[in-house]
Amino acid sequence: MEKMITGAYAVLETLKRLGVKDLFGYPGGAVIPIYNELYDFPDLNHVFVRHEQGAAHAADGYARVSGEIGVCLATSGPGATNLVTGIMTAQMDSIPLLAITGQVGSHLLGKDAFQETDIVGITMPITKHSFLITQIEEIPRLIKTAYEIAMSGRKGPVLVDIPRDIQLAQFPLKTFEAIFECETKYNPPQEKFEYLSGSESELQALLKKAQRPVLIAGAGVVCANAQALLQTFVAHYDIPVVNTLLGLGSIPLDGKYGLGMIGMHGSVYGNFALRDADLVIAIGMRFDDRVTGNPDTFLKNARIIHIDIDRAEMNKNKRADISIITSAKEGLTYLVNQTSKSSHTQWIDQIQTWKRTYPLQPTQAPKHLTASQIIHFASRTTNDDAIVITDVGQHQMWAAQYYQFKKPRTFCSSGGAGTMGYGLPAALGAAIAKPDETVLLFVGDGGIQMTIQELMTLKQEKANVKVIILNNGFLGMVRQWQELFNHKRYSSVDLSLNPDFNILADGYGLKNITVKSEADFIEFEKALRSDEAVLINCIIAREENVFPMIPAGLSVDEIVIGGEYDEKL
Amino acid sequence: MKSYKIKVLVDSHAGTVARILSLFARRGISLESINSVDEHDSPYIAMLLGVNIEEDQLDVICHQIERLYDTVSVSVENI
Repeated sequence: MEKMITGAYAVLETLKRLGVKDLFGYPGGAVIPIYNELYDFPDLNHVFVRHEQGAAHAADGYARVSGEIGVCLATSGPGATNLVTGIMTAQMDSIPLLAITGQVGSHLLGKDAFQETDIVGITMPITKHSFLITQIEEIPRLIKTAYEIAMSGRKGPVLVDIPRDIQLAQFPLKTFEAIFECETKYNPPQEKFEYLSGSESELQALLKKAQRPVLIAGAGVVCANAQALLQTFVAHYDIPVVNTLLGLGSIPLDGKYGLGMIGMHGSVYGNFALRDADLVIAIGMRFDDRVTGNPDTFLKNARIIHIDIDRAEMNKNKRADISIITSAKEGLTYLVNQTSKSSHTQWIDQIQTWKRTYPLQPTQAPKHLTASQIIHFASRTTNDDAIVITDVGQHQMWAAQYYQFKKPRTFCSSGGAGTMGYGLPAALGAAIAKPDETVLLFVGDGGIQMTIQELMTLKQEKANVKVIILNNGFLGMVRQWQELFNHKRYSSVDLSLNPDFNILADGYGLKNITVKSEADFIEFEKALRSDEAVLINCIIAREENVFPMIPAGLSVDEIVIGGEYDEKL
Repeated sequence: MKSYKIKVLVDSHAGTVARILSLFARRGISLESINSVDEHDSPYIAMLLGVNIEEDQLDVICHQIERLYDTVSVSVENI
């Protein structure tokens, strides 16, 4: 007798055949058939989170550190809409995510049925594509297509919505296999090398003439696994490298060339290097407003070569002299072939002088620890070699400034979306993807409360995440802006009425410590070296600001370097 | 600002038109006209969108339409 399978089985079998090993989800009425079949799929490790938003962020963190697709699963209606922030976060940072949602039965579509929502419509602007499956036979082809869309070209999230009756329907296993083996109709965007503006001879002339070149390495370099090629080109052409926030890790920061993050809270020396550069090679980045400030004055002294895989990024935010559409990997290979061994000693010496004059060094406060002291200590204790996840806010910028990244895929943060609440579930996802590595989460006392329920999932999964709360009793970044730009009119930023995070950790069954002074660093070090999750509640100076800072919309000439922190509170 | 006709050839599925039009809506751009016809001897549908926008905006929007899953090709005519 012919073996029949359900649509729900087909969903899971397709994922398995695509190489998916882990997925993050939360059950509900419209996905009960999938959870029923999941019972018999021991090869698929399902991580039961405590909120669907956590599933999406965990899948995102998983994808960022592993380079594989992240998969999340939720029920219809509120389950599906709870994924939305996570999907948008992945879209903004080009993270491959496959979101699978259950939907009400086909006969109920459009009838405002219980837990019905148009999740395909809702997610249209924040996905690469979204599918509503209308026939059981479409399951293997469309999930495979969704996978291909998410992982090809400029990566991103894809949603597949599956009505409950289609999950329950049956069709022959043979039919499933035949459809799965067929190629999808998807034609990925051409990744062939193309000059959108400029020419090879113009490129060669710019490279030859440049005396003060700088390379901006963005997330595209990390995504393309092009770090080795980057280092080859950098040494060959003798060019300093600055990073966008999400490009951190593409080049070691302890060497001759890596200058760290640029932009609003980037280093002075990195921003000065861009200000005085005569040639900027921008690879796998999109001239985001947090990088450029005022785009009209940004790189006003430089000729620009822009290399990116996405044609739609060309001249979107900043017009380049030469625009090349290709991946970071191919682009860097091409650049190596187009340049002869060069030397820019004088220029690099100038940058080193700036680095000595305006170093990024941990600040001190008279009464409390500062965030930079804690991050600096964590960086040294982990040999600059941990996977670092951040939430969003001041601590995010401090982590980017003070952790000495040396490897790609070791820094995860919500860059484009700036999603508070991202950190904890993303750290969970990272720990599932890399169970043998140390995962540090830097999170504020505001952000941790947005997805704090995932502490339970950390415990459940025995995920070795060090949850380092930089607790200043404020929504720090908003407070900083209110101090600097609204005459210190602090409005709805005071979090001095916080819960006791240590008691909360106890409630979730997690080890926890409090770090208030350098005397606590011995316990802090033990916690960082332990092999289980620990919540580390760091009480830090309340009103420290993140500096340097280029105020929004201004240029590097208006950079506020900052000084000693005069602690009032 | 100039007026253009953007011709988009699409492999039409549920949501294709919404996806394309949302690229204008998110920028607060109102279309001046919209037509849609079957292409002879082709499985695709041609959409003709009339729009009054800046040239820079036009380039970016066209590239963003181009990268959509359902889009086959995009071309632009000045009016």
